[in-house]
Amino acid sequence: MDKEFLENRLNINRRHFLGKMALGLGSAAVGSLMLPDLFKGSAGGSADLPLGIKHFASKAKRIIMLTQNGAPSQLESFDYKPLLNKLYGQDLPESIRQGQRITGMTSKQDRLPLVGSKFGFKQYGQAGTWVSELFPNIAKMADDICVIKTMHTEAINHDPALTFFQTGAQVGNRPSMGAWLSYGLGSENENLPAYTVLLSKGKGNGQGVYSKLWSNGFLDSTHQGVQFSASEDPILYLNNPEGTSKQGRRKMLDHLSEMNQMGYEEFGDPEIQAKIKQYEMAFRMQTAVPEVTDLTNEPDHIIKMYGSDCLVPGTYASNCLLARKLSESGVRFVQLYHQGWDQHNNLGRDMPLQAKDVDRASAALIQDLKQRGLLDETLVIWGGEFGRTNYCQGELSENSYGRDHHPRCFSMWMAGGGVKAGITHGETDEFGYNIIKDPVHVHDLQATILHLMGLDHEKLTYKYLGRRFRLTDVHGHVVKNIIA
Amino acid sequence: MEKLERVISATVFCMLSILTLFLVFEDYVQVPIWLQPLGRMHPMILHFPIAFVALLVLLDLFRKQLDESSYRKVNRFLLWLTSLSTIVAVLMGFFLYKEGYDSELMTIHKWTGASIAYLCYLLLLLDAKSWIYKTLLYGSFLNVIVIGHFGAGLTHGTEFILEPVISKESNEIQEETPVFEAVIQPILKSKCQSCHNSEKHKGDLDLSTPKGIAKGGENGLVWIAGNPTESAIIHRAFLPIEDKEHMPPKGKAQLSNPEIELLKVWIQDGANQEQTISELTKGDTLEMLVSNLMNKEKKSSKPAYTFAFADSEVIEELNNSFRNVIQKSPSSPAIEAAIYGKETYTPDLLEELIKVKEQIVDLHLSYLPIGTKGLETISQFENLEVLNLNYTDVTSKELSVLTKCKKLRSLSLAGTNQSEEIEEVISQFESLESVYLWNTPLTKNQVSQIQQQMPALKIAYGYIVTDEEEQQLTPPLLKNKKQILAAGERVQLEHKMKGVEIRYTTDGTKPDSTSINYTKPIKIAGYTNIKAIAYKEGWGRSKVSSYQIFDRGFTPQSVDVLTTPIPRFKGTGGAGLIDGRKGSGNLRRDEWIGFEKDPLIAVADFGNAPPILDKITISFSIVKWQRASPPETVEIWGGDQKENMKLIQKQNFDFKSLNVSRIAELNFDSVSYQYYKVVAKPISKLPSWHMHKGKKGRVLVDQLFFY
Repeated sequence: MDKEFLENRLNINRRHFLGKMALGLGSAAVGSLMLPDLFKGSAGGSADLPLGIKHFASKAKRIIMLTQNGAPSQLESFDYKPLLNKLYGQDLPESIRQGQRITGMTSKQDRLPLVGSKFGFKQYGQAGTWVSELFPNIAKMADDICVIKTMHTEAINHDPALTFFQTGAQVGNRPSMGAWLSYGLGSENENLPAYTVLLSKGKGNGQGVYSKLWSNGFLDSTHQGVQFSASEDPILYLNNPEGTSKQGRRKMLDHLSEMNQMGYEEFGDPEIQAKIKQYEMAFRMQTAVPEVTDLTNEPDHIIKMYGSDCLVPGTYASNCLLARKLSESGVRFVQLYHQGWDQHNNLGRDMPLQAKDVDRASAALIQDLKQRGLLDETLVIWGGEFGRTNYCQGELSENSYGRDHHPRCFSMWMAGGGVKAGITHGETDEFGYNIIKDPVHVHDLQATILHLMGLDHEKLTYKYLGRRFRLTDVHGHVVKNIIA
Repeated sequence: MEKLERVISATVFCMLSILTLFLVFEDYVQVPIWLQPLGRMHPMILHFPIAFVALLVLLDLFRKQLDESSYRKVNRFLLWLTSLSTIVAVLMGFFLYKEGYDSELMTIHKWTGASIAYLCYLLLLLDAKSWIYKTLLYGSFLNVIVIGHFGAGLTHGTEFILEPVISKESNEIQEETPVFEAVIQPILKSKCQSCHNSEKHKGDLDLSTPKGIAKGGENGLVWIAGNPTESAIIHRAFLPIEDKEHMPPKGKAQLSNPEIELLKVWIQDGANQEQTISELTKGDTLEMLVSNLMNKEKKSSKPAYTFAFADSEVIEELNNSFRNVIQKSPSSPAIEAAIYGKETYTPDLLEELIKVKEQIVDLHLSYLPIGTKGLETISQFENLEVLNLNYTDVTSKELSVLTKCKKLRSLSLAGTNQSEEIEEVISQFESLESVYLWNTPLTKNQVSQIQQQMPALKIAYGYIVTDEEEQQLTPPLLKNKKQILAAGERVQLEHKMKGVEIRYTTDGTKPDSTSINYTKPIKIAGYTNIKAIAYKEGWGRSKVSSYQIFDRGFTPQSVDVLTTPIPRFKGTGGAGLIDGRKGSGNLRRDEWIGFEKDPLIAVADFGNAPPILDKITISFSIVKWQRASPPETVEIWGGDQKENMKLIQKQNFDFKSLNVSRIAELNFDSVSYQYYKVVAKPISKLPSWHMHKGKKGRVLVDQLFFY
């Protein structure tokens, strides 16, 4: 056994030595060629900045991301296309489709008949933002939000698209956006996880969410998203086991951490350090979490604002309220998932139910942050993983139609956190199928989100398996036009 | 070698002659398009003559160090190269010049440039030792520097070199500044004038002076007042970027949307170059766009922080589990700090921030009991701009100490106990821009009074829901964790909202406002269907919630299942029928045991001291596509010996009447036996309305109850 330990150390040393050599000579030479500002000194050179410091000053400190899982239709929410009502039942012209691949669910359909929104649209606010009648409360906030009508993505199925949105890659082995932020900026309040996840189920056709979506990937596991459940114990296994006192727990942790420290000195595995930190945080969370998750002290008018179901654990409204409380308590990234937006058939029946679930609470969240003076520093993001087709899936009738997955354009909105308020960004064609002005790729959005948080998406990297990884891979441009 | 020299000499001479011709008949020369690329290579080629002349000077300086013959050879060779490259560069320059450069600077550059070509040829003819040679050489060198400077001025603008050093003349924009000068000219300057200026006027257009603009270019006027869509500047900006006519050309900085919008509106309004900002009509589009822009400029021109950086070690020390202290960015000394956790708060968490009191600009202390002392500490943070005191214990009076923070911009006081005195306190803050007074005891009137006193102050009083539609309460919830109550456990209902009244029934009827008021846990016997509804003043009544609750009843010592269950629904045998677990909607889970061919036959053993029973209840499932359905008949047998039991009760069941409750209850006269046998037969033929009509039903049971 001793031999293995010894070898382990030697290995580490040799690896360290070679690593240092390569770093010292090779990267100085190559780096100066490839990163022209490497030797320029401190002004632009944040390449060697310690983590936990923003690359540049920014307004946003925290993010609340309201992911509408299943992809809400842009054509019934924010992208008003009256032409589709005029061309009801006519085939999607090839000149518009331009060879776009379609999913197995409609590829065998012999026709792709266009269908317009069953729900009316109106313009709201000084900006005249178009919003459908399904979202009356969000519509009232038109002057506080920035609608992006020209999001587009690469995947056409839920899981890859959602994974792509969250982690910047369609395969699920990369760190999620929240994990990157936790890694880049650290925790604001170390008594709570920097990255928390809240789930809720809607009434429509649901799609799965998996823990890989809030994975730390190759980053240190302290950056993993922590799921708060709707049960009495929001965080599983957080409370002391029955019969264990707080002091007893403390003592046990002290001894455990001593032993872990010894283990770390022996092997140098950073995961051991992560483990120690996690135990410590869990201990502090035993006090902080009940304080935050207690919604009983919220006054009546707040409850009215979010809707009465905000007091029922596990609802979207309750998660929005909880998100505000978590964010207020310094949680860097609060991620909500609301399932049920996958309206392949009977969109007319299901989408209003879904909209009713989220409309009031989403608007209330903005309102609530605003009146506390927190909206300026909190970025709220609302949207799904892709859009829905302008043609009908399945039987088309007056009252019932469905829409398939559509990656070429979809709508989202953002509010607060240094985003321009009361604007609509980008333009899609009259068919609501292609983007004609100012496209925003998912990587662009990710770059913009990091930018709003004071991070340069090209400089927030992590070296793994011999290359430096980024949230935006080798893509992404900050969308300057939406930044206030 | 000599031959080569002659050839070069002749070539240079020929080219010089051509140049002379060009210069003399300049106005008649027209450069064909295919020669234009050659002209555009001028900026590249011109570096050769510059370098060669410099080399010649160097060679002359070090001539004593070289032996005579090699000096001569090298010098001669260099001279050829110089004269050749010079005349080539000059000719190219001439071609480029004919593309449309015309200015004073250009004239100087042209003539000095041409002169150097002649000078170099002269040098070739002269003896390198003569003083004339030397004079001419050094003269040429100086000339080259001058030419280069003017040339660079043409391409980069005359102030290019010193631009970063010369402090920008600050054109303070005031109310009396013409709109044109304030907002339109800067756009033209940054996006158009690099090609359309007085030195370099592509398309014969000079946008740098009002005169040039009025004159227009070779394609006519820049804009037509009142008609933006017909104006060339707007028209071209809107063309697709690939279009040759699109301006600014592909690759150059493009006009942004707000800029185009501004130009459009300005032209629409008459393109008046004299109109000042103050003359604009308040509220019209142009005025709004301009004032927006100005505000932005005002904001962006905010001075950078002048205080010193805090020691990074100090910052690091200040960070702990409850306190977050972070420098805004590597280039900014400003610090943001926040303290979290009401339970764990101690005053020194705040006091220790004194170490960075100069640098703190943003401080979050919401929910903390900071007290008067805490406020005194905060008042020492002289550069504080944003302060969040939401839900703290501060009162209006105490706040006045914060007026020492002269830079305070934003003050959040939501959820604090403020009184009327706040008005006076707020008025003492010098640079306060916004204050958050939501959820304070202040009334709407009081707040609007403050607003009247300080119209410029942004006061957030919050948003009160004014929906006409009454919001519906959510239904009451069951607090008990399981549907099957343990011995002695009672039914607990709850509603998460305070002040809600819960009314309920236990007999399956719909509850209303006259039903029993829930005040204490409900005691039930056997199976009970509890229906509850919530009421509260100002809210719509809730929907009815319905819960099926089972009293645990008597638990036998064991239960044996004698028949073979369907392999897919094996359950956990007899033990599973009395384990107190209700099955979920998922029939494949082991809470369910199912029978199809054989009936369910289960024998319960109560041991030596059996209780007195008068009811046995079977809980089963109904799932149509799985054919799970109620039993057709149930028999209850009893006896003190397993082999010798007699029929106590037998009952037939109707599918539809059990559709909701999904339990079969068999009542009988009180008996007390050690053994009971339950026989539940599946439906032999499912009824005609069933999706599997005619097929055999399945009995899926999760629990047996003995009362």
